[in-house]
Amino acid sequence: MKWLKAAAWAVMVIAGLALPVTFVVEGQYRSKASMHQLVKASAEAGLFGDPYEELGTPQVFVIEDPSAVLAEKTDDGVPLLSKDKLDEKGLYPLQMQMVSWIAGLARMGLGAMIGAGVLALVLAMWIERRRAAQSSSANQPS
Amino acid sequence: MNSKAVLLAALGLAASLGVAAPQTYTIRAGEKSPQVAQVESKTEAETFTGKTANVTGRITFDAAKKTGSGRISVDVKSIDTGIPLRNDHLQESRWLDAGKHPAITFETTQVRHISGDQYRVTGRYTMKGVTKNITTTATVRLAKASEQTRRQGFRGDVLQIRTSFNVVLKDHGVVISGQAVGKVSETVRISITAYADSGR
Repeated sequence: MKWLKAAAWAVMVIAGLALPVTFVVEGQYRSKASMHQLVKASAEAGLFGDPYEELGTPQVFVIEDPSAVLAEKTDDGVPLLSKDKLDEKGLYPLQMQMVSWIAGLARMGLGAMIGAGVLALVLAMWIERRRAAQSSSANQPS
Repeated sequence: MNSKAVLLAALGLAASLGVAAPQTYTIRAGEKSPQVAQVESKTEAETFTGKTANVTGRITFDAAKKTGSGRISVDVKSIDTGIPLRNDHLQESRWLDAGKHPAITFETTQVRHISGDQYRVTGRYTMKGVTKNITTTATVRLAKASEQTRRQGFRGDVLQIRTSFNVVLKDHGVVISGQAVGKVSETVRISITAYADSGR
């Protein structure tokens, strides 16, 4: 049962080390995230005094390139994020909620790995004890 | 003074007073369509927006009386969510069933001026063959024909109509099930920016 105990410990250690990493990575994304309104330049809207067309509603985006943030704001004071500039640089408008969702899934997976490791360890110890008990009873003189 | 002269005088007086009759405007969807129809789904996992420029329709607008009516149609097959597989799913019978119901339409039944360029609009919204009455606010702006409007490909005066409203998917026979649960919201936000020209 040594191999099962070793495997259980390995899984628990790897998952235990990876778990805080998810918080660190999420925190790094969060430090670059803020509420923005994604917009696209529109010459037609410009005829009516709006140089941009809003795409969806304001969201918390991870801003990889601050030059994509425009000087203008919505009527509610939300800064505009240029889809055109993101496209130019091949950047995807990454949503913070997506990062958090994936981080949450990763934590659940790692938690499950730790749980499975604990179960495997308990199982290995139980089998070891049972075997030890069986061998000691077999060795007792009748 | 004969009747012809009276008619001409009346027309001249009306023109000088700026009295305008309701005008009909056409929303066109071409290769370089400026139209924007969006559907936004928000869930804990992600927010995604489906877009299409394939919007057509006809608007009657009386700038003097600040009233009007109209019908707008959105082509379902052209809605792009940014992911080809998701686009394919959207066309399927359990979603928007584009084969049987190729268009989403909105037809006004009542238009009331609120203030400025804001209007309270009530109308019939039809999606997947189910019609529901909705009331929303629309912004309607008019740009007179100019070199700028012509440069953008418009003919005649141009109307910009902007509106958005929420739609409950199950009200239109769209049931979220299976893998889509948690990834598509029960209520989606429809936003439309349409440009219509008078064609003269």
